[in-house]
Formats: sequence, C-alpha cells, structure tokens
Amino acid sequence: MAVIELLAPLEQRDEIGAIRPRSYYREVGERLRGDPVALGSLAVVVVIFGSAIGAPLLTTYDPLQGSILARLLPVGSDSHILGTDEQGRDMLARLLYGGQLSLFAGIAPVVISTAIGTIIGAVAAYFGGVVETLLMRAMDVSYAFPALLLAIGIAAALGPGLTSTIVAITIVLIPPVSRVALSATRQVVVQEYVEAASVAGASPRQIIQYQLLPNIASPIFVYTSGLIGLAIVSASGLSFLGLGSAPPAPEWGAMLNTMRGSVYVAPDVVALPGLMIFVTSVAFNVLSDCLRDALDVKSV
Amino acid sequence: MSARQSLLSVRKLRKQFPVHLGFRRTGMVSAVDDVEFDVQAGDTLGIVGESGCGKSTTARLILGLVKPDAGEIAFDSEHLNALAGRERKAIKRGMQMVFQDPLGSVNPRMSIGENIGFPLRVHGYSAQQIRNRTSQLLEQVGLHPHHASYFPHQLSGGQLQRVNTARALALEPKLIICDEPVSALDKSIQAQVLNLLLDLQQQLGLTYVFISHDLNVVEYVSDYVAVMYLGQVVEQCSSDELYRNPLHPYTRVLLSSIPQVDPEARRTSAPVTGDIPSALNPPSGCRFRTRCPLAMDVCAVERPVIRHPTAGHAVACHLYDSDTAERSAA
Repeated sequence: MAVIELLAPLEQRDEIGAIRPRSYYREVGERLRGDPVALGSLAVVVVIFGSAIGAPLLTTYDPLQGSILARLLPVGSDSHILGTDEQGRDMLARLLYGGQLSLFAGIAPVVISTAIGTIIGAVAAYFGGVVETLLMRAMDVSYAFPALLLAIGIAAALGPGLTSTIVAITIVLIPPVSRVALSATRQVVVQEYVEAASVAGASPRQIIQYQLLPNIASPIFVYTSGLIGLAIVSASGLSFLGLGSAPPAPEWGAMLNTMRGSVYVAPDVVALPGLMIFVTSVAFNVLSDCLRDALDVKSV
Repeated sequence: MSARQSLLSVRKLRKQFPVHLGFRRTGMVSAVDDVEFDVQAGDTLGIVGESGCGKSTTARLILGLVKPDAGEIAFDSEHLNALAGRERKAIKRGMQMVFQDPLGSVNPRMSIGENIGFPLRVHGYSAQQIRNRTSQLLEQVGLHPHHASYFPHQLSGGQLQRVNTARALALEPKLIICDEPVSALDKSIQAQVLNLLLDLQQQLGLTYVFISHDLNVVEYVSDYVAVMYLGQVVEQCSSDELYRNPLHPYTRVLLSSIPQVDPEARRTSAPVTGDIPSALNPPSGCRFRTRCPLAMDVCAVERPVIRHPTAGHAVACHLYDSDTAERSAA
C-alpha cells in the first residue's frame, strides 16, 4: 500500500489544502518577525514617528513660545525635563514638534524620487536603445556634482524653505534610484514571463506595471529605505545652513544652527537635536539592512 | 503539402543580429536565413536542430517578439506584417506560446490564478469572467481550481508547465508554439506534459509548432518535421518519412545519434565531427559541408536549393541535384 502511494505521480500526491498559499510578501513578513534587530529598529522608528505625530498629546508647552526667565535650563530641570533653549523654549516640545518637520523633509523626497526614479529606470531598461540613452545620460549629468553640493545649489536657487529642501533632495536622489531600477529591470526584462505577457498582447504600459514593477520592487525598496537616513541628515544639513525651514520653526537641523553659540554653556541641551538626527538615521539604516535580508535581495 | 488551407505560412523569413565589440559593429549573426514552412490546421510541425540553429528565434519571429529583417508570415490568411495596432492584437491572440523554463515563464509575484488570467485581463475581461475561466483552465490541464491561489515557488516543474499551458490556452488560440516545453523536466514528467499537450490538441483542435532538440520527443508529437541547421531548413517532410527515410546527411547523423535501447538496432553511420560553425561567419555554399561526411567540391561553391526527390519530401542538399534532374528529364 505504502509503495503504491510512493509510486503515484508526484503531482497527485500533494493533497489540495495540505499546503497553504504563501505569497512572497507573507514569507518576508514571517522572516522579519523572527529578526530581533529588525523588530528593535522598527520599534525605534515607530516611537519616533508616533511621538512626532502625537506631539500635542505628549507635551503642553508651545514649541515657539519661550520664557526669558528660563533660558538654557539644563537637562533634568523640574518643569523642563530636557531643559530649554537659548530663548527659553521647552526642548522636549521643540524636539517632538521638530520631528514632524524633519521626518517629513527626509521621507517626502525619498518617496517622490522613488516613484519618479523607478519609472525612469524601468522605462529606460524596457525600451532600451535611444530611449535608454536619452534618459540615463540625462541622469548622469547630476553625477558631475557632489550630491550635497548639488542639493545646496538647488535649494539656494529656489530660496530657503521646507519646499525647496524637499525639491532639492528629490532631484539629487532621482538619478541613483533610476540606476538601481535600470539594473533591476534589466534582469527581469529578459525573463520568459515578460515575453509571455507580450505574446498575450499586453501593451508596454501593462508589461511595465504588472510584470516589471512588482519584480523590481524589492531591490528598489531596499535601496531607497537606506536613503531615508541619508535624506534626513541632508535635510537637517540644509536647514543648518539656513536653506531649509527658517527659525523659529523647530526643525532639528535648524535648532542645531541657532543653538550652536550656546554649546559651551549647555552642551547637553545643544546636543539633543543632533542626537535625534543620529538615532533616527541609524534606526532607518538598520531597518533597511534587515529588510534587505528579509526580502532576500543579494546586493544593490 | 495538401489541399487544406495552411493556418500558418512562413516565407523567406530572415533575421540577422548585429554583433558589437565596444562601439564598433563587428558583424552580423545570421540567426534565421530564408526559412519557409506551412502548417495545416490541426497538425503539429516539429522543428529540430542543435542549440543555436535558430529554432527559438524562428518561434519569436512568428510571434512578433523579434522583428524579422525580411519575410512573410501569414496566419489564418492574414499577413502579419501588414497589420498594426488593434487588428494585429486581435489576430495575434490566435497564436500563443508555451515556454521552455517552467519557473522562469511565470511571474513569481503573481499567484497561479493571476498568471493564467493575465492574458484575459489584458484583453479586458471582467474579474468574474477571469475567475471562472481560470478554474476551468486549471481543470483542463489537470490541476485543481484551488491551485489558483498558490504561488509559483510552491509548485513543481511539471505543475508549472501545466500552468504555462493553461495560460497559453486562456485566449482560445488556434496555434500554440511550444518552445522546448519539456526540455527542463524529468523524463517521467515529460511524458505527462506531452500527453497533456496531445490530449488538448484532440479536444480543442489545436495546431502546434513544436520546437525541440530531442528527436524522440519530436517523433512522438509531430505530423511533419523540419530539420534546421545554422538558421536554414535543410530537410522537411512528414514525421514517418523523416524517421524511416532521412535524406540529408545532417538528418542521418542526427538520427544515428539517438541512443538506442536495443544494441542490435544501433546504427553505425559516421558520427558528426567538430563543432557547429560560427553563425557569424557561416561556411560558403552549403552550411553543413564542414562537418558533412559526404561533402563534394560543389558544396563549397553553391548553396543547395530545395529539391523534392519524392513527393512531400523537401531537402536542401547537392546529393539530390542530379536525382531531381533525371526525374524531371524522364
């Protein structure tokens, strides 16, 4: 009896329902759940996000309203846990509200440049030839400038402000994202399922949307999630240089700028915005590395 | 070959690929050179040849995945070159393809059902229609409708080749081009998939162009066989005739290379020597002459034209030049 079962064709042996359908992303989720480093960095990111969004619930102080009498109080003061800045504003409130601006200035450019860069790279690789040459050589122009210098130049040309920071960083990030998308698409576009879609009569847009994008998403996701840390540092850097959010807005980089004169008076308080930038960017980078492992992407 | 209308008719099909070395174009590879054949509705044409002989390129030229340099492809009495846009899409849904690599030919991010339903989605069917048709197709190829929610990495090679077949059937094509559909499978699974293809042909009245390097497989499925060598069809006739009475020296060498189970039945013709010459710089005259045990002086000079030593048996070889001449003189 047992022998007969063994001899039965393999295809008939697996009983329907014996295995559950498992999509790629379900497996990725299971792998992430088993990784303590991923869970830890994710927790940090969630706490930073949550505290930025929930700032009005977490503090009663106004981040813009200070008291001349309570300037540069040290960390651990009675009514100001994290002290006050040079204008007597509560540091905790400023850091919490500042998170809203800093995270937005870091994440928005990454999201926008991912969308644009992915489409440019995928279109270039799918059509090849002249289309690829035109698109990718245009992208190459930006490599003639050091990235941060280019961002400073664009932000300076657009005039200071949160929007110009976001635009500048977006423009700087599009070329590298499009390159990653290009090389990822090149590997996918030669697969037989792309030919099969073409035989079925799919248009180039349908092939790119349904066959290419889902298959290049994970390497691109790994790459761009690593860019969030960089973008937050860059956005803070531009603000520090006076090209981002203008004071008195509580942006982390701008806070470092306005408080740098007080570094010898209250070094612990002055270091706080820098610490936030550091922790946030490291958390995103660690999470990105864990994603790379979970998504099983060999290298980017 | 017969009075019946050909479903697919290929004339003077030619394709060359440029070869680049750095920025310089150093030459052209002649992948397909003046290939001609007809396939009648309901028949199976087998195309055999060594790897690199242009079998797969021929398939891709017919399906429009690669643009031909020259030649006519007529499908269902419509000239494909003359059509564009919506008309072309409408005609082309009549010809579909089963690919070689079971795993590589299904989108790993789509479920089996989404993969099979994709051609229907492209042609604008509703979600409900796609779901119904997908379950029907899964049963038709010997899988269970529940397989629709599985993902490609959860299925075996044989199961995936069934999925591949179901996807090719989705648009109810008349012609299916099978490009080495069983080469990546184990022998035992090969038989299952081949029998499935033959059953489907009977049930649905399908026409196949069946590409393979495996002569046993081609003999099993084909009504007619075309033998290709370096981009050219060197011999073409019915399957029975080819295996009983091969005329071209290349075909004879190919057939004698089939492993035989019975030692008594083993043929002892001269084995072919040397590698297949580069298509970048093919030999003058007859392309097979460098490896041909029967090569003559004329083979280096003149390209052999297609002769018909017997009715329905086409061969391109100088050995049959006089044969045909005598026949027509008599």
